Amino acid sequence: MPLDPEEENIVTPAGRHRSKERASIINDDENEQDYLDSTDKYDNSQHIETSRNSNEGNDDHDAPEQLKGNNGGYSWEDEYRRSWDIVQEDESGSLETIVSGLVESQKKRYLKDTTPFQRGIIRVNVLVLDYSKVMREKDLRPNRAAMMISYAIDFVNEFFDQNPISQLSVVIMRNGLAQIVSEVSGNPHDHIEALKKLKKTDPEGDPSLQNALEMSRGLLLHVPSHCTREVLIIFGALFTSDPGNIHSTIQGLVQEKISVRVIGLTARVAICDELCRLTNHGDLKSSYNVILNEQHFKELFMDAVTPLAITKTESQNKRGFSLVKMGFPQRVSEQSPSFCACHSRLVYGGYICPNCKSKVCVLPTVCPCCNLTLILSTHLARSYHHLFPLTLFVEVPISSSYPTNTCFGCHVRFPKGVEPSWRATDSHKRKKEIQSSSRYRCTLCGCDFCIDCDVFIHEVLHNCPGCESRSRNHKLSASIQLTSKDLIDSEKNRIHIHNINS
Amino acid sequence: MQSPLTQPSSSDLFKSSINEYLDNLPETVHAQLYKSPETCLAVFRLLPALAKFYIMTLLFQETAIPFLDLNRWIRHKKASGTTHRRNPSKIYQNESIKRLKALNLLKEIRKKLKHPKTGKTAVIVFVQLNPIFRQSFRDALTGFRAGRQLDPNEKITETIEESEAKESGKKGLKSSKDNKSTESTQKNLNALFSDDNAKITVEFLDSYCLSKWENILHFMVGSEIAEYPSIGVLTLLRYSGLMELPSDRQRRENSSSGADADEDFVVDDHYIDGKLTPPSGEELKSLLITKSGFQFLLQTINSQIWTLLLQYLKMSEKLMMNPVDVLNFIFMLGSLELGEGYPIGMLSDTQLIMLEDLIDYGLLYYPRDAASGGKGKIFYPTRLATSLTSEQTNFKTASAALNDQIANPATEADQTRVEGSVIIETNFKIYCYTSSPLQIAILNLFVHLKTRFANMVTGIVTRESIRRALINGITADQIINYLETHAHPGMVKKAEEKYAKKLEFENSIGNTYAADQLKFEILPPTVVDQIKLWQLELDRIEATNGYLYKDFANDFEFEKLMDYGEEIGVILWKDKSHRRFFVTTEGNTQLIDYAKRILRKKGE
Amino acid sequence: MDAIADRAFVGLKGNAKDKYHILDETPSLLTVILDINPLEWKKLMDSNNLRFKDVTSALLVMLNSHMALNSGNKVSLYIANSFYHGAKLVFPSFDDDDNDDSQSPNSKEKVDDNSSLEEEKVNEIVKKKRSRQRKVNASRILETTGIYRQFRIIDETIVDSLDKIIKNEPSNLKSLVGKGETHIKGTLSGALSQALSYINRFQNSDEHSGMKARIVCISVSGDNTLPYVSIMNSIFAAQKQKVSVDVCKLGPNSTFLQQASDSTNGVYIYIKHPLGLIQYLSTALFIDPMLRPMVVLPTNTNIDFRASCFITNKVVDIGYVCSVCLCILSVIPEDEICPTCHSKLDHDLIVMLKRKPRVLPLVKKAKRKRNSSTPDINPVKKFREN
Repeated sequence: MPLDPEEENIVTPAGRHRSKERASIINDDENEQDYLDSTDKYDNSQHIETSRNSNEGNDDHDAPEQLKGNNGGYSWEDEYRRSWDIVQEDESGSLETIVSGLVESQKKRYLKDTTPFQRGIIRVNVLVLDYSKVMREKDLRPNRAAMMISYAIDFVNEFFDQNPISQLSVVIMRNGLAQIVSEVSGNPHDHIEALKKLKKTDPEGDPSLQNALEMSRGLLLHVPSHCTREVLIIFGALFTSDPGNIHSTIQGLVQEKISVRVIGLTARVAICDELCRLTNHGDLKSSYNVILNEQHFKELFMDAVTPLAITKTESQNKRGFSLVKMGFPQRVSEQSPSFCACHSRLVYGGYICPNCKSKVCVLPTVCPCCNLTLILSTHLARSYHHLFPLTLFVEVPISSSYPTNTCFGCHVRFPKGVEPSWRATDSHKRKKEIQSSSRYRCTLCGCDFCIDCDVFIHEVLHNCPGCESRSRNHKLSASIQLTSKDLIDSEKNRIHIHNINS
Repeated sequence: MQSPLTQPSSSDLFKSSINEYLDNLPETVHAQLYKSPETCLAVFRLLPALAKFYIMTLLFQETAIPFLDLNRWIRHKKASGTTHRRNPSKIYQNESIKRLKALNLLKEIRKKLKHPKTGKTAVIVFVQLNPIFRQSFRDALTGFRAGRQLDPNEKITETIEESEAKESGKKGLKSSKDNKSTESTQKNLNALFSDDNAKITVEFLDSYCLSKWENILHFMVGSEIAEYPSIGVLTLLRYSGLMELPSDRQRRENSSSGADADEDFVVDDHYIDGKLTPPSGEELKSLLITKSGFQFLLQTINSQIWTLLLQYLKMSEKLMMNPVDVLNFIFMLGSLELGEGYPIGMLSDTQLIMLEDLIDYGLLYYPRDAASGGKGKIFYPTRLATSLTSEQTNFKTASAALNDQIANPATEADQTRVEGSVIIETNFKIYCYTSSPLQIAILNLFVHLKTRFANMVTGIVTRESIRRALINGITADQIINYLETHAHPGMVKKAEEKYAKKLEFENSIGNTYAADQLKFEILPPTVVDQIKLWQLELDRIEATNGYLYKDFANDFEFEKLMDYGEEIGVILWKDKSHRRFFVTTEGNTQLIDYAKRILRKKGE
Repeated sequence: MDAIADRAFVGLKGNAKDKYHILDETPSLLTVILDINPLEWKKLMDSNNLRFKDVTSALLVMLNSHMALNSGNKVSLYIANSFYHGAKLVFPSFDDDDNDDSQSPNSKEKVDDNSSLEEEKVNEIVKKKRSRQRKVNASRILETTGIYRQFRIIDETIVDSLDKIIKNEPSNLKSLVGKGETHIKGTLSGALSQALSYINRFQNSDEHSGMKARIVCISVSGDNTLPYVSIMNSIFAAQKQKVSVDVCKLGPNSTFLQQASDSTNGVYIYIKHPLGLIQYLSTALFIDPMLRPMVVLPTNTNIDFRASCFITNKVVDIGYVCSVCLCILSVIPEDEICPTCHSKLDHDLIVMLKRKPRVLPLVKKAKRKRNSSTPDINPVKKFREN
């Protein structure tokens, strides 16, 4: 990034920087050359947001997304910004409005795509963990293996939390072999116990991708057609020592419609690249990633929790979707212990299968007696927010007065409105970019929320308090109609996605 | 009762001492105290959480319930194979019930009942809430005696209306002349609520009380002050052993041992019995700080006030003041409204005397020149008074609060106060964001201060600086406690994160024992350990009063008793091979009870 | 090195005490959600001789008791109602532009010439309102401070705003009934959502960070008034925030609220004798969050985990679940299309599911082959055949 050092160092009395190259990022109507540094900070965040938001590839930039700096290059190529240059007093000499605006602009808004997709809710996933010698590296604390396992435990919990009727298996690559840690099962406790036990053994030898993939293929072989078949590989090494030709294995996976996702811990590896590209219809962006830091590792891991959207080809090839018969058992407690049907252990209480009246001790599971899938209705309900996502709130434009003074959710006071015609000077315009109305409005009920509530509502609650609080008459049926319409709409989106993929 | 200052071993001693004081009051005094709803509320707040819960369960219960029902609420975890045998919930429950009994809140009734089927008679212990307390506390919660804003069930309303009628009758008869009954005092107080308080703002009261209190503390530290505290304050400081006259010190040093207990005694003696004339005001101004005085300085402001008030209580007993009156007044202060004025007309004589003293401490504000009407002289409680029965969230230390006052004097009296300002690093360096000379003086007690900036001081904790403090009588626990309570919010936040991370880690590898053992550490453990080690350099032996159990007849008895003792956490030392163990004084009675039960069972 | 051993010894002694000492100090937030669905209340009052004001007074005592526990404690109160107000925060009141002091005296007269079943209800409310009005006024005149200050502020605010709401109720009710809208859904989920966002803000603020919170729902409506998906979403949010949801159930039992309390470590109490409400509110529903680890929760351990069918709204124990949208169906749709997401369902599978069990002669049993295409359903039938 070419920089003119002299120009860079000119500081006006007001403490502003002159910098030319900023202009390229900022909106077209603002063609003045005099900008606060803060604007590009602000713009930067927006920039990332938009790039996260859009599905089109940002191929005009050379750096991968997370490493991208202001100018499209790597972030470490950027110039150093002094934090105090951002702050500037307004006419009354107060910093408050600017500071609050800055604080808010740093909070990340929830801006995920909320178009409902048809997703493969019933999944069978094989989690492949690299447990070779390289996992002893201490670049993640306490070491790679320990961190991977603790995240894997979180992953298992979260996976079954959000995909209650899915199944999982854990495989490790160790000493050039693939070993099963836990068999395919829908019970999170089995996997967690197994992973905890695994913690006590040390990583050893070389990894073998081919063996692991063949093993996964074997595990996924009997999976019925209505389930999605997935493999998630955590790969620490930069090599694989295989007994045969891995390319033919990959072809096999493609035929079996198994999609493979890889999280690399060190660097990108060509074979993983090929593996992911071939098994995901060329969609490399969401399937192969290398971690930047611990936080990013966790994010990538957790991204795998969300079920995959079904692509057009898949939905067309099928004869139709399946209907699964399930039982919703009752929980009972007993005075004296009796044997449970699943582990033959003496327990005081448990769940009674509504079909055959046998007792099981943990859910979700498959009734060992009558083979009925037993599940808590709460488990099912956990997946609903994937299917019926809450619409995004829109930011209320700045104006002189607003209809509301407090956030509908937490009742925090909003800042007062500012006069838009109030001295349309240079400095004011600049300030406007930092300022915001701090209000985010639900388009359905028209209630305003603060940024904290916005994030909380979309990430945790998945309910709009405003919509729920209005007197509802035929709300439920309305919502169903709405979602079905959305699903039809999403049909188009799917085609869109498919186009990108192919 | 021993003076709390003579045993500076426990760090939260000042807080527990008010409990201790209440526990040791005779039952008749308790009964009188519980007549006032405000006092009930204050007593209630001082109880452990479980005791509060027990009271709530019993409060609206008309009949007595079996004692065992109280046990039934508690989850008894089975020890899961670990060596960790102590059962914390059981210890906690015992503690709670002990407190309730000590305060005469819980009454046991033994009833002989016939089993409906077998026909055997058995003694079952029932428990009931103290009826006086129950009535008053119900009143406090439902507000019956006051505005009747609630809609009570008709039955109760009637009785209350009756009592109200009586009350108001009394009120009419007895004017301010004779009201020994504190109950009606409060009625009057409440009824004659005055609202012309335009001049006295909350901010004014805040700065007033803080300057008063700071003044006292400054006097103790010995910094230059414009105005000396009043003689009442000085006398109390001397009485409580926080400060002493040069002559006292000489006498103490001359006496053979110089034991702390004697010190108190001497002071009591010549002051109360009048063998020696009380020292004059001028003499008192030359008071010097004592060991306990140093410890006092390290307390939070709330416990400082309580310490002084307790001493005041003790002094007032000697001065033949009615303790019920005094206590009621103190507890009532906690429920007064900040920024409101209250007429002094209806205070009892005892309370009028107290009023003067409390004004000196800065607990109350009383504009002397305000000649507002004949009877209606008005006093204003300050924040120090109204937060007496609250948690210490309002302000941690006078100095911190004062800083805040200076920083933004215009803010409303909201609760958002800067609480801590001290940062200590693992390399023993201390940074403290303060400009208050008082806090700097206090830090100077145990920190080797290096530089001072406009809004902060830096220093380093060294062996010498700590030793100096220790020789002054400050304990390591007190220093650590001070640093913990004054820690910068950033340190607390960091500690929380660290704790959560560790806990997560231990739980994830299934090491529950380690997870239980995890401690929440605000200060760097190296510093804490080092300070403690420096103290241990000075005193290598710690004496604990207690009882040695030995010469057991058989292993069974020994094991049984020891297991029980460990479960309730009273065993300090044990020697299995010789079948001996050592028990704390407090645990002894419980253990003996248990031993008797075992023996009785055996006998049957 | 002796010194270090010594320290461990001292540390052990102080440890347990410290643990609870810290516990004792933490203040907590109590959020109460009061369901004021007038139709349900009417039913309840008729059958139990219970008055609404008995409930409010018990509620106020509960809030006061919570404030009495610790001076740092906070309370908040939401009402959930399907009519005009929807779900609304009552306390603490943030000075929203509540300028409509609607003295609406004409509502009373209007009401009197109504002659449906609703009329009784309306009259009752008016009566209640009038008596309340008097009470409030009385308290204003007295203006005493005998009651602890915090209590007084809370009680007055709550009584005032409840009064205002109930005052508006008759006309709203009438307008709704006039339009012929009879199907009315409760807005408990709205109140829950609001309460959770409030708690979220509360726990993240510097001032109250780490403060524990719990929610108590006083509910009178049955399950059929609850929107399933939103209630479930609220439950999960509560679970994530570690907020217990206690349920005080008057009127019909609710499966969903049972599940709510179960999955959030809360207490579900079905109250048979609503006159003794205060007793329940001050014991079983008064367990502070920090006591929960050590107190046995007085909750029902038999919990019904059934779900409701999306089409018929019936509660089912064995149902069919669409693999695309996870909707729960009690019957197999005739057109083989999922009614919620309109996906085409697999015909073969449906035929399989519809197949009635047949009795086969015993001889054939050994020769029978497994049908591998539907391993999860077929064995059921086989089992039954035996």
